[in-house]
Amino acid sequence: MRKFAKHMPHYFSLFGLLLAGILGFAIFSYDRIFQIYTAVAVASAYIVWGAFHHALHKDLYLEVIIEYVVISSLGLIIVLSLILRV
Amino acid sequence: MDFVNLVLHFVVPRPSNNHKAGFLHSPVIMIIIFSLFVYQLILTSVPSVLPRVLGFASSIPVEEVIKLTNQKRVEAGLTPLNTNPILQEAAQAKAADMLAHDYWAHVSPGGVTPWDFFRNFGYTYRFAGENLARDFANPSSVVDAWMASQSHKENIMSPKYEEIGVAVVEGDLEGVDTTLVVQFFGSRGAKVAQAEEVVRERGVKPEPQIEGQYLASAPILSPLDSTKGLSAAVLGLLLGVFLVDEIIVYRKKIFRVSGRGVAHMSFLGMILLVVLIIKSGQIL
Repeated sequence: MRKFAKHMPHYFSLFGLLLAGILGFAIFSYDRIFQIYTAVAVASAYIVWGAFHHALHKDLYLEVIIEYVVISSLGLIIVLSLILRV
Repeated sequence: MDFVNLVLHFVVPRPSNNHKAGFLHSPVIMIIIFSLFVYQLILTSVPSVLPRVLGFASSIPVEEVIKLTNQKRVEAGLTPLNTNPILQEAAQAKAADMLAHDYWAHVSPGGVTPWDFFRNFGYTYRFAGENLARDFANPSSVVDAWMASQSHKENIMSPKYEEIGVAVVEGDLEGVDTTLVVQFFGSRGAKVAQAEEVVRERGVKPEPQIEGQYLASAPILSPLDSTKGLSAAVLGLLLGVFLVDEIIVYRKKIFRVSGRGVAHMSFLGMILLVVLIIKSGQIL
């Protein structure tokens, strides 16, 4: 938890990014193209956030990057499969 | 490894999984991604093997769509539209044409425009417009979706229109049991707008009309709901495992090279919210 508190400024930017994504989906609820762009943008930004965060804390390794890529890919495939099923 | 140990291996950080719950290892998540992809492929192929198994349950009375549309106009200080039986029939024919020729568009693959349906039913218009919707569960969600889109809202709120015709037709579109809503707007007059004079004569033969405009269909499986259910289950499982993993790692002060659990939980939590927010229905 102390570690989390120390990283709070980083997490604020992450929460802002995720909040923007949610608002995009809620406001443009029937604009599929916008939703697809939003999903890709948020997933990509999450990987970039992870890379910067770990680089700044000097614990950036290939397997960490792969982890962020895999998690964002999971999120992306779930959202895209829903958008294309609507 | 007995069953309990196998479960613990996947949900709790311990020496057997290098102090990271098995479900959170990248190769396991990649297998989950692949499984979700395969599920979507299966859903896509179901209509060709088992037609009309997939579909969207809906209950959309025509009168309610017209009432809600007029309600929006009155709220904006506009006059309500009068229901015109000719426009109702034309809208019905348009919906039947989309099902018969398996398309979802304002203009059919053969080039038939919405205005052809107006003219084929003898409706001489001065101004005409069309809103389309599909796969909505109820009339208010249809009208709300149109109102959320600028171009559709302009049709609903246009002072140029005096009459309305709505059709709700259920049928098989691209192998999926679908409910189409066609909303025609018009105002009559001898003078035909310049843009509408160029509408080509295609000799459209309206399809036989489907009786009954109040439809309540109950397909076996909604592709959206089943995808939502599976996605929510996967996300719920991973969020739970992440939480347990984070607590144990924090309490045991385990050092490991890994991404931030709080960040992953936040991201997956956001995805779960999106899963809950996404609604069925498309407009055109």
